[in-house]
Amino acid sequence: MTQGRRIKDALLERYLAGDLAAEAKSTLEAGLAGSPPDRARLEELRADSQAFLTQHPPGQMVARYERAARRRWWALPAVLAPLAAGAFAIGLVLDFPTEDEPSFITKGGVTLTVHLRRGESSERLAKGVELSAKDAVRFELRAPGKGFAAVIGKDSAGKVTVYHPFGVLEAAAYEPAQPLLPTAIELDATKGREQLWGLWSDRPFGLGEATEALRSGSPLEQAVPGVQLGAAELNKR
Amino acid sequence: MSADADSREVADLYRRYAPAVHRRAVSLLSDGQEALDVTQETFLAYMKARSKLRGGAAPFTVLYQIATYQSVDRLRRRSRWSGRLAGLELDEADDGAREEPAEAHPGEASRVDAAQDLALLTRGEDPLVLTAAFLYFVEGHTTEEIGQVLDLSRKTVGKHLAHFADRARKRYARFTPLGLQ
Repeated sequence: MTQGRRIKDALLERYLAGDLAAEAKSTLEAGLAGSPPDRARLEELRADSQAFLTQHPPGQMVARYERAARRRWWALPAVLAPLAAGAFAIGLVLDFPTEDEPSFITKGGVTLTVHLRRGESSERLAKGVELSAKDAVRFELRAPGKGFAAVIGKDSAGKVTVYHPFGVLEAAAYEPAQPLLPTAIELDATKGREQLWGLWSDRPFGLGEATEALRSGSPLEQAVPGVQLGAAELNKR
Repeated sequence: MSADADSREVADLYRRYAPAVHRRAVSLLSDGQEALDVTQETFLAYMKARSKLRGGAAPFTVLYQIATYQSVDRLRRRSRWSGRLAGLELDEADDGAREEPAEAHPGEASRVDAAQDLALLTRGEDPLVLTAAFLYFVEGHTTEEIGQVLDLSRKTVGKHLAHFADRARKRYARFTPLGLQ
């Protein structure tokens, strides 16, 4: 390890991948100019990258991807950031709650509500609200107390997606003081109604059985005993 | 997108980012072969979920989070609580300029122990929070540096870390009768 460095490897890696925004790149290059140890480390990383690609060219990766694509890799646990600052290009109409006509169902004190994100804030969606490109959707989950929570959706094509925590088959920690979940999601172009479920328990729980039950049409309640549920629905067109 | 185009995209992404993803996995797992498997799984997960990425999300930030999450998941499976992780205190004086050399950490053995402890404490956390927690509590990044890696503001990083620390302190008590240091 080169001594006397000031720039962390993660930033050098991002620079090396050509993935830094212009301003951050300029700042980093200024730092590199005044730091021989960091320049040396950058060259180490560059050389290591070349060696890695020589030893492990993309062919094996592509072959594995093509095999997985053929299987549709349902079982692969996709993990993604909640992308809290997300904004998504979609056009859809949400069939969602109004104060006098809630479309969510409450069981055991858990409620699920969809919010439209606007800039830094979010607002609860009323029935018939039309979203435009760049809008993002967030979820408000109200549950009896601290514990673990998840949000799962099943669209009209039968596709089941874990929205919170995104793509992870394990419920995330839940704080009742923060009912608006950090995950912002994109709804894909699949038309029709999408059912949503909010799940909560005071103990950690996995989501594999829940997602499998939703795919197969089995009752969700039986797949996750001890987990309280809230449901919502939206309509995409 | 056709299957051929997808395959080309995988190859292009791999050439550009795989070395960094692999090094990230090695830094957490200390096992080149296992890191290679994590690298491939990271790209598979990315390809599966890329249609849901927010517009403009930099591939590096997403791949970095996936690689960290996948590595920590494996680390967690082999972890036993060591108590080497220092108290989960945020540096209130962190103005983005922590006085810590880029390569400094308290020794490789301590770092590995701390990483294994944090792996246990981050069970169930979002990949974003998990990644920020590792960068801050184990790897000594400032909130500003984490923001630059993950495309977040310092303030947002600080909020995520503070909320995580609150949750983790409660879990911490399960591992040690002494509570937080």
